[in-house]
Amino acid sequence: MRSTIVTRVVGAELRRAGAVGGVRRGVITCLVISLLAGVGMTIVARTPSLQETLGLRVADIGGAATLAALMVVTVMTSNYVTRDIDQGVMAGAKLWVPWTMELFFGRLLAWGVLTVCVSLLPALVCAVIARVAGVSGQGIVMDLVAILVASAATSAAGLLVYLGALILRKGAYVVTASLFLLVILPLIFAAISALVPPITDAARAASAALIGTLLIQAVTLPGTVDSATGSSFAGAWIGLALWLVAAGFLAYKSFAQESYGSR
Amino acid sequence: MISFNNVHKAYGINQVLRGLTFEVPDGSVTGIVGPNGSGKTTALRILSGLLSPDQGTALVDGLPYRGADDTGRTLGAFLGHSTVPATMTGAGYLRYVADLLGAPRQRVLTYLDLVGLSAASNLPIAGYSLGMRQRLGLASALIGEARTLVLDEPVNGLDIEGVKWMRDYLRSSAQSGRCILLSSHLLSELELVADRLVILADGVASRVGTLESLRADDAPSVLITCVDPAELLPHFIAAGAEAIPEPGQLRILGRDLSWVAGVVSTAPVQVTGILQSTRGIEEVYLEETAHAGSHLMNVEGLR
Repeated sequence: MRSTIVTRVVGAELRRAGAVGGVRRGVITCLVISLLAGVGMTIVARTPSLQETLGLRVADIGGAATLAALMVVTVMTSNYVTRDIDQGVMAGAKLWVPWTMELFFGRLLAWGVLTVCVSLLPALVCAVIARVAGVSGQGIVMDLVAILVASAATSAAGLLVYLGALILRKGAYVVTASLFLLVILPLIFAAISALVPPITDAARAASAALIGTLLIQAVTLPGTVDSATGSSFAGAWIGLALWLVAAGFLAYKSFAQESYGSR
Repeated sequence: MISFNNVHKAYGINQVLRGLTFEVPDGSVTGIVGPNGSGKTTALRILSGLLSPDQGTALVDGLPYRGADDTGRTLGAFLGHSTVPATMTGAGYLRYVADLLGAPRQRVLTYLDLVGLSAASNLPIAGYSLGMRQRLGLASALIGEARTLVLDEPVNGLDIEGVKWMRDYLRSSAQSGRCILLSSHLLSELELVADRLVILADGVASRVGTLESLRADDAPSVLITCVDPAELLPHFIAAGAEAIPEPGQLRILGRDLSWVAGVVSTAPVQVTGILQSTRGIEEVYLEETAHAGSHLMNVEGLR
């Protein structure tokens, strides 16, 4: 793979994302909603009666900001990718960059950078605001690590949506697939666990491998919660990595098709 | 130089190209023309690396486009305004293309000015007319300053002024040594722009040459004016002639006037005139594509 081509694609995609017709509105919406979520949580954390029951810390506030970012990133990603396909941007890009692998990775990397920025920046700002407001934390280093991990999980989720959109090509399909993976499938496994006791363990194991479960475990740092262990944290990240590899493989196979993105 | 060497391409069971072979020399404007579905766009897409041939090679300066070190300098292509995104601005779109090609961004304004879109450069493309999108597409093909240009239906949607501008630009580009290949369903337009013509029929280049050579190589045809050409057609087919029905007339290919008059005299059909026709490129095209089966659909479009 030619790294100069990948770098060129990353630069072109990031500049396009920042231009008219890019994702400026989406990014601004994401930043505003994340900041509002973080500031709102800070206010809650500073309310004495709530602080006692909720016990919110700086890392929780950063996490709330990234969670808010994740919701906007999901919609923004799905819209952006499917619009690129509909409007022929993909086909055009394949014409100017005829190396499919480089183009694919360049676009993916650009989106990864973008999602890291839109989840990390507001989380850091909110954490600073919370610290200044006097919300308790676990020390600057641990708070920072927690925020970085939450931001990385948001980016992983954003990339999964990106790859899913490349595979499915239609916004409605992406939403349906996301709902299926995040809501319906966990419910199915829960129902199976309850109704068919002999396969409860298998259903739980399958449920643990779902994206939603993995994302929750991936942002739960070892030692911060009673149930969190180093192995479940590492396992969650390995699980997410496997999901990304599988989705990446399928997305690349789809993207590399001759007719992909042509109208 | 562009060269297609025995290129085959099929979509499922539909064999579109069956050994396409021709060359486009530097310093010329070559037009590729053929009926709908004859494989013009497929050929251009193979050359541009968007499709892979099942067999054969399509080369730009001796290499496949994907093998070029600097794609922007090698091939500038515009394959239709469907790849021009409506939500971006004209300038934003060209900047994106320049970034992908690694071309300097300063060229954006130069080429927007060249195609006459300076005033609309910061407007969303959604508000552009078809002609403006064509111009923007052309600018996207030019911005890499490639030695070779490939344009699919470049005059589609352009007004008369735009067509003249395009013609002059392509001519001057060719004179400066560029190699230009363009497709069009408007044969009359290609005759005005191109030095050379490739007629595509049944997935092969059935005729290739300069306009003069194509005109000179062909025998004259005879044009019969009659009320119902369809009624007269079977008589000529039975006599072994190749005949093309046109509105209000029947064109007989490769036969002289006296032979045609002989067949007409035996047919119980009212004929109002028989004329020796000097064949133009259009007649050559019609003859070459007659076997493709779909030429009749395009006869009206060619006029």
